[in-house]
Amino acid sequence: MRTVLLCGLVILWVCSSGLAEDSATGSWHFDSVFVKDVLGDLDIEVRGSVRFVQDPIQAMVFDGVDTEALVPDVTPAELPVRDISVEAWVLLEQGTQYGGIVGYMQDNGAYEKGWLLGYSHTSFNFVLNSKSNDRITYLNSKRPFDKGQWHYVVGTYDGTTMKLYIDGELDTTSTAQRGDIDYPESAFYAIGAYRDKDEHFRMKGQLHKINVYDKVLTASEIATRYRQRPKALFRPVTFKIQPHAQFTSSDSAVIAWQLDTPETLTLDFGPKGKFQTEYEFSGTSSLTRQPIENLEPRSVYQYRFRTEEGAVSDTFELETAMNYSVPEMPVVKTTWSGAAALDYAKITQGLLEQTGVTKGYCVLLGAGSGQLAYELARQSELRLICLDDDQGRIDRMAETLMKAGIYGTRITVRRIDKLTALPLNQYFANIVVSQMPVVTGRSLGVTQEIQRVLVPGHGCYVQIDPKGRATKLYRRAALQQGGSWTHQYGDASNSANSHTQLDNVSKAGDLDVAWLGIPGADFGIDRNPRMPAPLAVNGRLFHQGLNRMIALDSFNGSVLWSLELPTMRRVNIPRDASNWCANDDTLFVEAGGQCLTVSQVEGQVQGCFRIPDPEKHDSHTWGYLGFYRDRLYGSSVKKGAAYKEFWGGAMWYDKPAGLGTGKVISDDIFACEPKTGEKIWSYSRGSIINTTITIANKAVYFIECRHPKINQAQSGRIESPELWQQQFMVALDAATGRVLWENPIDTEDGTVVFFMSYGKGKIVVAPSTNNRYHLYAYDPAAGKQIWHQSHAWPSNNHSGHMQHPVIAGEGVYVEPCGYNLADGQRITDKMGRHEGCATYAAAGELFVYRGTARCIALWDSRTNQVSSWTNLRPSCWLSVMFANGMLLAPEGGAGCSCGRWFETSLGFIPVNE
Amino acid sequence: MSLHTESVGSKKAKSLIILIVVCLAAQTLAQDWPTYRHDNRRSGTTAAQLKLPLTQTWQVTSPTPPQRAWAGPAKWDAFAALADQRSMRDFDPAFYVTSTGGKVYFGSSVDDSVHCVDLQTGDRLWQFRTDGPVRIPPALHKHRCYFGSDDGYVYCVDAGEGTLVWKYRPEENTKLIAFNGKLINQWPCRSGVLVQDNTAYFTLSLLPWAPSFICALDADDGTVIYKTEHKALTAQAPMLASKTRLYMPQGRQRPVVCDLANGRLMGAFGKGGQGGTFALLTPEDKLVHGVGQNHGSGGELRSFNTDNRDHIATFPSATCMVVKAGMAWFCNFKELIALDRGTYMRLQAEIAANNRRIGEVNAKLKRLKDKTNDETRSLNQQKLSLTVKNKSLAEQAQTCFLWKKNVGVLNTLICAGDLLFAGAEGKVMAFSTTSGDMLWQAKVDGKVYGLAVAGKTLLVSTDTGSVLCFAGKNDR
Repeated sequence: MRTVLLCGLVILWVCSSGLAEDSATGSWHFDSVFVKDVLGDLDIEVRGSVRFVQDPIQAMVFDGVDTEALVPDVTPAELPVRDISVEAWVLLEQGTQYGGIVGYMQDNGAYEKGWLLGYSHTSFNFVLNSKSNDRITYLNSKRPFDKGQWHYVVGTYDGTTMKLYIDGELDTTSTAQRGDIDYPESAFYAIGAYRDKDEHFRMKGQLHKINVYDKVLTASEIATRYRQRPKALFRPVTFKIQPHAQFTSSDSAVIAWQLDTPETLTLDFGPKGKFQTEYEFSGTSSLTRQPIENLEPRSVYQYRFRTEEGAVSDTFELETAMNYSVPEMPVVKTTWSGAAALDYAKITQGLLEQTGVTKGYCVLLGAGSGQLAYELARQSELRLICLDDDQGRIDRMAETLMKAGIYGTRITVRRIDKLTALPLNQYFANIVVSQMPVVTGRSLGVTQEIQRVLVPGHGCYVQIDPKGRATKLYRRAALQQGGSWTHQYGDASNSANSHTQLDNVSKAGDLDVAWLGIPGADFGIDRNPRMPAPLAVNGRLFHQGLNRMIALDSFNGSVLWSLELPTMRRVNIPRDASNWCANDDTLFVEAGGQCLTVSQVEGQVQGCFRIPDPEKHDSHTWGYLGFYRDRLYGSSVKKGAAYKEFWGGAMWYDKPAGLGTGKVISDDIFACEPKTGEKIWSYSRGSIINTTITIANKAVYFIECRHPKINQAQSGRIESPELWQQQFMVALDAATGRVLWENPIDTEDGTVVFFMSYGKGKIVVAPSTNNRYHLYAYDPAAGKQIWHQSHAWPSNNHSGHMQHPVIAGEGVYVEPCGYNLADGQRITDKMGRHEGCATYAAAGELFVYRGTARCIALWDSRTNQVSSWTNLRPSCWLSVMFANGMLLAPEGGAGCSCGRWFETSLGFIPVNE
Repeated sequence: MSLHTESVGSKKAKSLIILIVVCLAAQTLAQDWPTYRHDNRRSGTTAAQLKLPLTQTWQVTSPTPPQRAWAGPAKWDAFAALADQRSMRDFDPAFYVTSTGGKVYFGSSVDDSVHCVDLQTGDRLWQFRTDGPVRIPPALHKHRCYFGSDDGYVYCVDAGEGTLVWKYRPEENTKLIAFNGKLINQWPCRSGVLVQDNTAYFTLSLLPWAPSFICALDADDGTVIYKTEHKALTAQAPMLASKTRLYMPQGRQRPVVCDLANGRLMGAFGKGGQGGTFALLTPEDKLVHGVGQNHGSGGELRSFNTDNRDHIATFPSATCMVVKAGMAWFCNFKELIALDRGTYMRLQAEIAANNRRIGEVNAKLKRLKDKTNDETRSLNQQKLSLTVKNKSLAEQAQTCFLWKKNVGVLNTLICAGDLLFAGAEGKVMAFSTTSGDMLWQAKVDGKVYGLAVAGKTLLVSTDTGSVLCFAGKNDR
């Protein structure tokens, strides 16, 4: 939103444009602060505070306090004599007994003359007096106006009938007046106010456009003008669950949503640029899923929602290039030569039910007729790789599948030297199925080799005996110290350390590529705007793109699901909290200002929570998200505070001051039940700096500013210096929200960034300002400062001035220095140097970052060894991290037109596992 | 996977076709398309002349579209506010074909095989399965097919029977990587095989931080002539060869050149990151390469001297080019353009030489302390003279564009006799080389990325996984 604040006298641009304005006697478009007078005789003078907004449409803000707008020196002779139409695009933030949008009137006792388009309490009104009547008529609308929403209001009078239209529809009429309008001798031609000799009530709201005509607009004209209004003035559709889509096959998808209240709804759908199909839904507010069929590959579609009440949603895109569904297996009629007389369809069904493994890679040991492979592919989303040491069996199975037209897409075969040494990486297979007993009569048993190649935590080994019995012999346990990455900086403590145990890994060469591929360069927004970090938990890797997310198997890169979520976006994460976090089974994601819960297994949106304070529903959105000990934590930020802009160099958010450095603040913080969103407790006092919210040690820690100017600020993005005054560090009991302690603090200002972390029994505050990083350690029991250290930042660009601290081993690290957490003694000033715009993350004492030649690099703090991967780059913040026993690098660096970069997603495993 | 073949025409017509094929066998041998874009210079040009109009005779279709190696390009460079980035790694959007001896060959990234079908009927003749996607069409040489696979092997297969003659990979104990639903070798062959002077050349390359291989083998028996190992190489897309050099596109990196005789790298073309997979080598050994962008450019083809690797000309927005004698034809996102290449390149060379001299003058001027003496005045005069001359040359160069036709987005372009064939979304078209007039077009499903002319037919490859054959009335 761009705002311009002026004080003093200005003259608004008065213009006449468009067909209907041709007969206007006054036409004001409140879209510019520029003062040129086009018509020359109906300038508006504005006094007091003047603010213009661009979002959702250009409009002038009337603050209800001192904003004042008048057309000076107007006489009745310049105004319509009898026929009149007064139309306005107006947004009212509050109603009053007497309210004016535009008018020229006096209503002083018995002296009642002129006209006014205005409002009273919750109704619009059209007020007019004619020469045939002593009393003025207040024609109040039956329909109330919606506070905070744009309305199109028109009052007309033709010498016999007064009519009041709201949003293109006739609301009410009166025939109380007849003949010419009776004007007062003089009056204020007031805009955004009810003003006469005695009263002056200012409007609190916004005006986009006002026209006054000396003719009567017809109902048809008014309806047409309403239909053709700017898109931004359509009332938004309000959703309980934000619209989202999932591809269900290679040419179909389901669009799902839930309305806030039951309304008759139309879903418009079509290829980009035109809506071709309408789907009608009557009066439901339950979760609705609409299948969309026959989608073309690599095509872009669009959809939107319209309600019968005239609300229209944004137009969302559905891009089939992002359809990662596995191709369906066709029904084939093949004679499975050599097949044992087994019911493979039934065997497969039982096998899949028994294991629950339906996605990822299936290694089929023993090349049989091909029927088992076919059934496994047909009844699941698995990709089959059949291995056998017998070339003849392999060739026969391949030939059968080729003749059936199903080879290659989901099923491949491969001859290997021996079944006891599989040419596969550890953690590769989601399921191993041995049909060697059927094919050769010999059983393989649970070999170490089979255990080695199974995915930890989920991978199953099943053997099928000659009688067709599928027996689950083994399920691999999860890695003991694989580590997870559930929050922006690792976990809710912001340590930026997953503590993933990687034995014998110290340098890039100690890691092998386990998988690479999807998602690629076309998935994301850009490397530019400092996106939220990916998350990884329980062997699943979650990654955000342009209004979408994807879940991959961390171990082999298989796409588990993807979710198109067009209202999900947050950038400039160094100045805000991330828009998602995870527990063991659910993703909590802010989209459209609400918190969606998404199943980690299937990617289905299961629920939607609003911020708990109903008073804030219209003014605030969900800000912080954290999960700690069975509870979901959140915060409320003012609407428009979260950064979403990504286009242009400024949206790299790299400047050390000014645009893009404003910190996003929360007006409250709360805990709720993760299944229901029901509030457990909330806390509200000052302005909480989102980047400081840290949950650990059974407490919620944060820094809030209690300066009145900040607490009363209209914006939730704060750049002003008062943010660094009257600051308090607060500790709340994570379970109850009780204040454990609160202490005023006075650190260096965090004008560039201001982070807080917890580790090794210390709270660490890390501001960056004036060419230096600062680190402060506090005692978490009472909030007492223990030590303070400072060092010069490496540069004032490319994130050299905004690194997030990493807590590793006994120390806390911010490039290029590490300090002992206990006493602040410097451990090193020789960290692996960053090059480029990312920040550091760690597994134990091994750091990953963007280093040598701007490539992804490792620095081992134990050996001070630096290594890197040529031409592999991360995003401009944090897109590479250790988790699930892997180094995970989902694609986040694409977008640079400089070429060179590898631009694909990768997973690395330790060479020596 | 088996390809689904549809024939268009009656049995009687097929019998007639067979008769004609036999009669014209000798002639069709002279009209082969034995490697990607016809020859090792990737000219996309053949002397074969097709008689219009053409009608579709058969079509083979994969059950699923090609499984490309890489996802699409980033949507934009948001930092630089540069929209519509182009892929620099789109070397496998369709099953490109090669053809000789009345047979059509293509590799498949779906069923990991090389297919051989009959040129006249589209009937399957044989299929050779590998353990990974085959992304580049086979090179045909002395009745043999040469191709590489993502499984890390390079294969030589009998062209008639589809039986293995030899296969080779440089490292035996290699690791497999999970890759979009399949297993590939850490050293896949994504350059295809280039055969010249009875030697098969290829690269095995993927990860820029891992070593890559450039290999030369005796085409007859697979004996290794050389195997060189290189760092930071990401060779992908078909290579090109002159008599002495091998040129390798690298996807998102600039192309490199090596000595054909020993595999020694000799240098790179353009600035780092100026990638792309389209390349051709002109008869005068000028390399034309793209389509890539680099900070601010919207994607282009660039021409280089191969001797000194100087950048000598740029064709803004161009995506594909064919050259023939003194002419070139190229397409951009909206136009098909004919260029008097000989004159244009001469003028561009002069402009480049003048620019170099201007650079030298600027350097001298910078060194001079006295900005008012005779030498300064003389240098400024030289600079002005060169600038004026370049302006005049640039104006002359504009007259080299003989015609431009607004034809929309073209994905590929070849030249056969006096016809240009172009592939676009949903259609294939023929244009006159002399006038640019469109002489013929046919609708097809999907985007046309591959075109070849062989045995008096036009072979069309689309991103839906189809290969279609078109022939003239008397050539069916």
